[in-house]
Amino acid sequence: MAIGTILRTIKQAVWLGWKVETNWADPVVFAIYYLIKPVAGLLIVGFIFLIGSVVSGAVNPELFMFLFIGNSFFIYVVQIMMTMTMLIHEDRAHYEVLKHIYLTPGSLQWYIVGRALNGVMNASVSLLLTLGLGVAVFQYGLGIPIQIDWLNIDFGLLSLTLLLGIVCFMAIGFILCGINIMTSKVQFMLNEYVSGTLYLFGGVVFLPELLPQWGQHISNALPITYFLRIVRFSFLHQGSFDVQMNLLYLVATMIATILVGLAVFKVAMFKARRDGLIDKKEEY
Amino acid sequence: MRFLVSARGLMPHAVETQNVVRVFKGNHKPVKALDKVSITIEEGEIFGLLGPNGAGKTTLIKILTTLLLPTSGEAYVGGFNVAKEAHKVRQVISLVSGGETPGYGILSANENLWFFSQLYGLPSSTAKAEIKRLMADLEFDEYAKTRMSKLSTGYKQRLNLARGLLNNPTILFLDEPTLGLDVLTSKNMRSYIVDWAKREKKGTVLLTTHYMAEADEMCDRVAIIDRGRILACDSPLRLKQNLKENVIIKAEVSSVQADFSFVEGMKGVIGYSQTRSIQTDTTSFKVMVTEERIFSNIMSKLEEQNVKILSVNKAEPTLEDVYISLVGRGFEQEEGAAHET
Repeated sequence: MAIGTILRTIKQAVWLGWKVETNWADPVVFAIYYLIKPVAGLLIVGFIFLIGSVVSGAVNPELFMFLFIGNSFFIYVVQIMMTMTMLIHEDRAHYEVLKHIYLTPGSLQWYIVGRALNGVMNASVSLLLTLGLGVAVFQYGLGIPIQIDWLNIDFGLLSLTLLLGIVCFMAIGFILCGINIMTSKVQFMLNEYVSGTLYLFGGVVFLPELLPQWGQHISNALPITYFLRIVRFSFLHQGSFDVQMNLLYLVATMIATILVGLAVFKVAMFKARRDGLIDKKEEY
Repeated sequence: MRFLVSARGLMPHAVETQNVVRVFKGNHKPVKALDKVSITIEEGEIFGLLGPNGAGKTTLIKILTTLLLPTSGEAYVGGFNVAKEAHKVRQVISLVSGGETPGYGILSANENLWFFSQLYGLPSSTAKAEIKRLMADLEFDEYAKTRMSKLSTGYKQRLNLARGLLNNPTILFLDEPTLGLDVLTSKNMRSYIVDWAKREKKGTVLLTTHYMAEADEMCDRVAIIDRGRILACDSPLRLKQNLKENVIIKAEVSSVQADFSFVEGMKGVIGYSQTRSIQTDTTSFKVMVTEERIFSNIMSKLEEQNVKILSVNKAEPTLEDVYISLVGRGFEQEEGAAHET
């Protein structure tokens, strides 16, 4: 397939994703929603930390930074999973265009990549809002110190890690797309199940080392674990952290996730063609 | 790629199927939607697939457009195998289905066409010109900025057809393209498609329909399909000419209760169809017989039912009569039977 067609497909899918995201409300309401959504998520974590600090009688700023960065960057998982879980259902059952997209030379895979990139863009805006408003609310509003040297962030490492992480999450998203092509019964909870699992085992709110042994094995197999470790390091520069080894694990889990994601998607598309599911109508 | 050696040299059929079978898992037992379907369609031909609902028309179109795999048999579109070379097939085809949403309801007509033009890989300047031309040709340019969800059924279908023609396909698949449209819009749509095929010269159209007049008016050749089997395939004229030796009589009787099923199995009766109108409390009846005198036996039987005969006319054969001669019943009974199973 021509590179030009792939790029056009991705560009249009990003634009369409934005249209789908924003079409339900007028611009002011949408802007408020866009602002409140990430901050609300962070505030919950912030208040849990505050209550914990009051109960234990000690404030641990390092723990807060662990929570703050973990939750801020988890937005990529949430947005990509949500977009990629719902798009098959929306395009097939709601808009009834999936079969026409499937029949174009631009191909469904690149269209899905474009829609996922729209999720990445939304997540990036949410991340910036969360970091900015998080500092304002917690540091200046609630007096919890945010121990980030903003001028000393390792932006090179952060960018590389973000890129690898996003590819991983999109590969997981392809697994979800494949499942949703084959069944129309799980699209509303699949995102929650997968995001919840990654949240629990990926070291978002507590160290994977605190998990039981079997939980640690799961955590070690997940790319998000290494993604968040390196992201935290690029912000906080903890002393004894082995960047190269964690990057190696991230790349290894990324390759594994891509292979599994593409295999599941390919098998799902074959089954969908075999069973006539690409233009399956749904009745409610 | 599959080629045919013809007088015009080495060239592929536009469409070719060989013993295509498609079986679906049913609730209780497997359902055979297509049963050894073999057809060939030449370049530049407008080919109709005529049959009642549930006959297998859409299933065949789905297989040919790579949306569905055949259970067995082989199918080629533009010389490419639909199962193994699907991506090559998609380069040369387009699909327009009637009664479906033509795009995203949240986008305008223009935005929808632009979106698909980019997925087809058209350069921006070509895409803009094509969109403008198609909207003008199909007479909906005044609705270019209207959200698709706000368009009427007729304009939605124009948009659908425009989307289907955007990539300049060599083979256009039309699945019931005039379904649910008013008479005038249907007529315009039909003439536009015929003009398109003539203009493109090698533009091939595979049209499925259950409207007899549509197939008669548009198609160079028609295949009659019923319960997954191709029963006949020829030009509409020749199919009708084959019935010239038979007598077709149309009658209208009072009462929606009139029942003509007694003709089934009568000697000399080839087939019949009946249509009930609750509004006028009448039943229209069409019967094909080998000799005219057989109809007088039918009239006698009718009188026993105490119904008043409002009109009786001899009729020229239509494609519906071809269907009746092949199946023994009209579309309405056939569709009723399909719903009952």
